[in-house]
Parts: sequence; structure tokens; C-alpha cells
Amino acid sequence: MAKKILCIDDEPGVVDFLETIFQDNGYQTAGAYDGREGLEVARREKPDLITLDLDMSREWGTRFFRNLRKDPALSDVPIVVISGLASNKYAVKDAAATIDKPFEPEQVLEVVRSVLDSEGAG
Amino acid sequence: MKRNEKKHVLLIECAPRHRRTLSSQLEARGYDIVPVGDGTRACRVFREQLPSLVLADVSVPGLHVQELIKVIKQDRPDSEVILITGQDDQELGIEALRQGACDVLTKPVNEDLLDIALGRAEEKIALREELQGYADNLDELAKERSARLIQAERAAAACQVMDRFFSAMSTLTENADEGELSLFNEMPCYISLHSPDLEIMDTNQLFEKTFGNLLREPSWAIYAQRGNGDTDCPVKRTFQAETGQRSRELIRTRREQLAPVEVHTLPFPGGDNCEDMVLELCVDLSRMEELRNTLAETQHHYQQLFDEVPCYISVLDEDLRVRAANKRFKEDFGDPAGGCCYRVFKQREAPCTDCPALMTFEDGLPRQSESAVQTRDGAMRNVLISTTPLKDAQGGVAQVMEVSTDITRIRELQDHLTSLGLLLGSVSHEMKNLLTLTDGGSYKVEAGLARGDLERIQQGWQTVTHTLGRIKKMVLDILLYAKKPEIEKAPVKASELAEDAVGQVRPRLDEHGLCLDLSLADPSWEVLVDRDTIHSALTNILENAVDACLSAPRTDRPSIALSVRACDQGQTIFEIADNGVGLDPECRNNLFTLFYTSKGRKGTGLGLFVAKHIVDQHGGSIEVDSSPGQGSVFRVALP
Repeated sequence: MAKKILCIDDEPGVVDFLETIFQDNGYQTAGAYDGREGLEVARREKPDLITLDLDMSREWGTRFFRNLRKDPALSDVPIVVISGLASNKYAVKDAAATIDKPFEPEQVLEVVRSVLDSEGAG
Repeated sequence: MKRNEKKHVLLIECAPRHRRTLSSQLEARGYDIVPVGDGTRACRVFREQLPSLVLADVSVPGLHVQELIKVIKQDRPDSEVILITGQDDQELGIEALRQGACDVLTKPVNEDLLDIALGRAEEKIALREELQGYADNLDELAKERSARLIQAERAAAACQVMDRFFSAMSTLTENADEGELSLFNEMPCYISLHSPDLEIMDTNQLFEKTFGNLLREPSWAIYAQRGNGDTDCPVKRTFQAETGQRSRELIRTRREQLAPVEVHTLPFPGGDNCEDMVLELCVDLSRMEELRNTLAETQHHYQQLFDEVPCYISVLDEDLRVRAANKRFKEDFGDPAGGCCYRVFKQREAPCTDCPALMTFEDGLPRQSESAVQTRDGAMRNVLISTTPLKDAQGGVAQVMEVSTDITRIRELQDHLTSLGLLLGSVSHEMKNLLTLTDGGSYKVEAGLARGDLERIQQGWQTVTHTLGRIKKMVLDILLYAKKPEIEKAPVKASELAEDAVGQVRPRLDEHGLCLDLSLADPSWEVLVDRDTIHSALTNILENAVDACLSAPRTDRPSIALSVRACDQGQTIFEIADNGVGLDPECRNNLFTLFYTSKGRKGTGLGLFVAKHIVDQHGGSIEVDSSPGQGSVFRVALP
């Protein structure tokens, strides 16, 4: 069964871009435009991986991350941070990977594949 | 004793007959007779009368010849004694001659012998008188000579004083090179000494070098008027007035050059045996004039420097009163005229805290500080103040010089650079998002092309154009902020401005289904503006209205109204009203502050700042009415 990826970013165009890349490569996707909505969608959709923007107008990604980890059903979902902030490497400590904006579609796919593979192996 | 004066003769004779004979003989020779018959009275009478001649008969009873001679030689040594002896007492006569008697006659006295004896005695007396005269003359001569000697000594002493004076002068001149007296060396000074006959008695070297040897020449010999036969001169006036004189004169050197001099004279009282003298000092003013000119020139240079240096310079006393100020200071702050610096610079009533000048007064060390001051026309200036102590001869801080450099422009540039830095930080996130969106759009276009999926191509292309519009607006805002371009006003139809701005936001309006109501009072109404920048300003405000509508929780239809009308004061009003989220008071106050945004990371905080800046540049104004949940009204008034 195809793996499901939840994309969270307050810029709808970016969510659309990420979803398109993943769908084109055989993944199922879901989208959310802020942390609160992201948590709701995550609980409902139970994604295998979440891409997360940090700097969002309504709720910062770091807060979403803390809330996510508190939920036992979601605490193990790997997070890939995709952000324009220079400090994103340090903002979320146990992120599976971090990607700087702007990014290449191939780069995102490569990271996502390797994270999902290592999850599957583990 | 003079010849015509009668000579007294003391005649000591006891035998009346002899006494009469002798008396008549003596009287015949012009003598005045003082007869004495009693030998015991002889000494007393002699002492009373002190005659020049004594004629005594040694046989007079009571007469002690030796005692008499003793008294005579003691009381009047120049009196002569002639003794008359009998045949029997010749030995007594010889003894008397030994004792100093002049002659001894034997009785009966031969008249011729008496004549000879009297003649001898008189000769002796005359000789002695002559000798005495010589002696007296010698005394006078000696006195006269010694007086001359004293006079000579006094003159010599005066010369010595003058010598010492001159040598002191020349020592001063010689030493002058070594120290502070160089001015003395530079200052030509002719010194001369003058006699009451108005003759030059002595001169210094410089005098001789300049005028030649003028010893014994008239005192006015150095003056230019000497050619007119005019003998008036400072020395002459000094002898007349008997006090020192001071005057300006013109001298003529031996090379016939004329030069102005300042003349000082000083009388030297001579005393009993020394002539009065006058000392004359002439200071050459032509050199002084040169020095004075150089000084004036140097002062002028310094004044120019002081005035023209591109700083505010002031000199403060201990009460912080401005004692001197340069031109630039006076231009911007007015003439301080002894006012306190804190009043002149800051309109304060008390010194500023941490006043650098006060600190310099306290410890004599220079200080530097930054401050904002207000010019007399109310403009604020950032200044960098440097204080320097001005010390008196004792090393104390008498005054403090304050040099204030206007760094307003530097501060502005610095602020500008700082805000550019902040701007870049603030827009970088938004830029990365926009770049990512562009990538997303082009990805879709490429993928659509690869699959022949037209819908995908259209979606991708729409994302690209939309994102490009956002990028363009942001870049233009940054450029407007960074460059602050000069505005070029030209008449533009107000309706065109409004329509252009609406055209700019139209894609977003359509995308989100927002409606915009445009109302123009008079389509031909023109305003004098810089079209490009006003377009940016209006667009930014409209974009803000769109954002406000999109942020509001929707209960009714979101809408924007743009109206253009002319007001009574000849201004053009662009009114942009939205029924969006509205602003709370804090938001409203900070609306036009650089980098302030109520849209989180969505906004750059640049748009309304730039709009306000442009409207300000046009001499217009922006008003805002807004309350949370009720929407906002922006009113742009352009002159």
C-alpha cells in the first residue's frame, strides 16, 4: 500500500507543489496550512511521514512538533522539516531530516524515500 | 698781614727815658706801640694784644725772658721778638736767640741797628706770611684738585653704570637666541647717552652700526628733521622738562633710510660734581610693524580656520557659558553672547547629565560623546562632541573647547544601512517561499508538458505568473526603500492612477472572489504627482486591503471600495475602504512603522511604510480610521 505523506505549510502553493511531487511518485498525500490544522489532519489521516514548515503565521512548526510527540498514536511519525529559516537544523531536534527552501523535487523525494526506508527497516 | 695795616709792637721797657726814645723811634717807623713797664704784666698783655713784634728790655724787673718767649712761640708763633740787653747780660741774649728770638740789641740802642733789627724781623714776618700764603694756596689747590678728582670719579662711575647697562643689554641680546628673549633680539633698539650741551656722549653697538660714530654730535643727529636745522628732539625736551619723555619720531640712518621709531628718554640727575645726563632708547617700529602685520595675518588665518572648519566650535568657561563661537556655530545656533551651552544647544535650563565639558573641567582630560542638539530653526542634529582643555600658565583648566561634528547625515546613512540589513532579514523568508512557489509552478508546467496534460500546464503557469507578480512587487518595494528615488511630478489623471492600482491587484481579487467598487467623481480630474511612485503607494494600500479582507472570518461578502474626489482645499483624496479584519489601536499607531506587520511572516512590514514615505515626499498625508472587526478606511490626500 502506498505510503501517505502529510504536507504542512502556510503557503498553499508550497503544499500544492509538495503534494504534486509526491503524488507523481506514487505516494498518497494530505495537506494542512498551519500547525493546528496539521494535527487534526494527522490524527485523521495517520500519515507515514510529515513535511513541516517552521515559520508559519498562525502557529509555529515547533509547537506542532511538541503537540505531535505528545500524542501516543503519532509520536513515532518521522518529520522532515522543509523551511526557509537558516536555523531550521536546530529548531526541531529529532527531525528525521531538514531541507532548505527553495528545494529541488529530486532532493525532497530522495530524502523522503530514505527516511521511509529506514523507518520500514526499523 | 697787609703793608698798609699798622703793626702792633709790644714795648717792654721800664726806664721812662728809654721807653720814650724807643716809642718815638718805633712810631716814626709806623708802628702802634703797646707799652708795658711792669715785667709781670708782659705775658698777659701779649696774650690780650697778640702783637706781631715784641721789643723787650731784659732788665725790666719781674720779666722772665725765657717764659715770655715760650708764651710768644706758643700763642702766636709768627710774632718776632727783639731783645735789648745791657753790657752785662749778653749771655741771656744769646740764650734767647737760641730759644727763637729774632735779634738782640745792646744798650744804648743804636738807631741804625734798631732799624736793621726791625727790618729783619719784618722781613721774617713777611716771609713767614708769604710762606703761610703759599701753604694756604696749596690747600686751596689741593681742594680744587680733589674736587676735580671726585668729579672725574663720579663720571667714571656713571660711565661704569652705562657700561654695565650696555653690557647687560648686549648679554640679553646674545642670550636671546637661547630662550624666550628672542623677541628682544628681533627688536632693534638704539641706545644713547646725552650731555646737557645736547651732545651724544655714548651709544650702543646697534646705534653705531646704524648711524655711524656720532659721539660729540648733536643729540638730534639721528632724526629725519635734522636737515631743516630743527634742533628740537626728545633729549632736548627731556632736559627742559626734567622728566622722561615718550614720542614717535622719524629717524634717518647713515644709508639715508627713513624709519619710524618709538623714543623713550630718561633723565639721569648728575648731583654736585657730575653733569645731568639723558638716556635715550629708540625702538625701530618698522620691524615691529612687520611683526604686527605677520601677527595680524596669522590671526586672520586662524580666524578663517576657526570659522570655516565644518564643525561647531565653541569655547566654554567654567559656568558653561559660551565665550567664543565660530561662524558655523552662529549660523545654526545664533550668537550665543555668553549664554550657557545647554540652553543654546538644547534649550535646557540645567547642564546635561554626563556633560563632557564639565568632566574635562574636572580632570583636564579630553572627552568624546554623542548627542542630539536643536538648531535655532528647530532642526535636530546628531553631533559628535569632542572636548579639549585650554590650560592657563599654571596648568589649570581655564576654559574648555568643544568641537561638535554634525553626524546627522552619517547617522541617517547608518540607520538606513541598519534597516536595509533588517529588511533583508525580514524579506528573506518570504523570498524563499516565493522561489519555492516558482519552482512549484515550473515543475507543474514541465510535468504537464511531459504528459501532454494541458490542465496541469495551465495550473503551473498560473502559479508562476502569480508568484512573479508577488516577486515583482516585493523587489520594487525594496528598491523604493533602498533608493528613495527623486520624484518627478507631472500632471496625471486621478482616475488613471486609481485604475492602474486596481489593475495591479485584480488577479488577487479575482482569485479570492473579492469585489472592488471604484467610484470616480470627475474622470478628467488631474493631479501633479510622480506617476510611478504614487502607483506603488496606492497599490500597497490596496494590497493591504486585500490582505485585511482575506484575514477576516467571513460572515458577509468581503469588499473593497476605492473612491477618488477633490476636496475643498484643492487636494485630491483617494479613499480605500475595506470590510476586513480591522486594526486595534496599537496596530493603527504602528501601521507606517518600518517592518511592522500584523500579518506574521506573511508581510514584510515594508508596504505601508513605503506608501507613507511616497505620500510624504509629495507633501501629502495618509489618515486611517479603523477598529477591529469593522474594517479600515485609508484616506490619501495629495496636494
